[in-house]
Amino acid sequence: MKINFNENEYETEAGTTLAAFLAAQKVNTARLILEYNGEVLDPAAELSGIVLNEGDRINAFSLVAGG
Amino acid sequence: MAFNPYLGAAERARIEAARVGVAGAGGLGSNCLAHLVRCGVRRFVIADFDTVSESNLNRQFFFADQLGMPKVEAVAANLRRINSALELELYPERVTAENAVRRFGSCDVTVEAFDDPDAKTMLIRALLPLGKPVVAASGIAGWGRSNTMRVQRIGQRLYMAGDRATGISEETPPHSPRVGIAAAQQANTVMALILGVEI
Repeated sequence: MKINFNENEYETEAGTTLAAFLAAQKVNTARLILEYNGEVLDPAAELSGIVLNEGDRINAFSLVAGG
Repeated sequence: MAFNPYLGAAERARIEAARVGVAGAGGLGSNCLAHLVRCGVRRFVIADFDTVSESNLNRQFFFADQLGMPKVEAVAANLRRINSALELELYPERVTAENAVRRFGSCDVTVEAFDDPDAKTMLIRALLPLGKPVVAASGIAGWGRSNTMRVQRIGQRLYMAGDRATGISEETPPHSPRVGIAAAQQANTVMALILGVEI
């Protein structure tokens, strides 16, 4: 199934969890800002409990130093 | 003449009623504040534990005769030279998860202008649940690549300026133009939110 991750389309298997997908993309979970289908997820959210669906939109990035 | 004579009456009313939080008065915060004051925003909550040092002068809105001053005091003095009719709440202290809501909870919108990425994360997580917009920045270092800097909305009310990639490092220190782009993006985003126009 197709999902959108950081503005690019990805193929992923049905049943993939959000946690597994982010791990496969090597997303650094420290200082993470995670948007899933238009909502910023609570950092305490259990991502292994979120099963991805066709058309899901994920935006994930770690904050970097500078200000 | 009223400050910023280019404002329409309705715009002026919204801008003058706004209270803006600025967490951090360094490269992002001091420059963002200058833009907002020039727009006509008058009410601010500003927090920064640091003092002005010589290396700051390459990008922060301070001057050589202000070295050693607490940044909140120095920036307040500079902003008042632009518009003397400002209402400033100044906190020369570190913002923590424990005091963030107390400091910025009354603001209509808060600018995240820290340099430490853990502090950035902490502030965003502390303030977003309050239901007001947070205008943050990540990825502002180095030279060139102006067109990689943009403002992105994340979720309902988090806005992120910068390129979200170029952190400060030995190879990519912070320089005034790119920092300035992000600071202006933050200020422009705050103004769009206050006025209810497209980000």
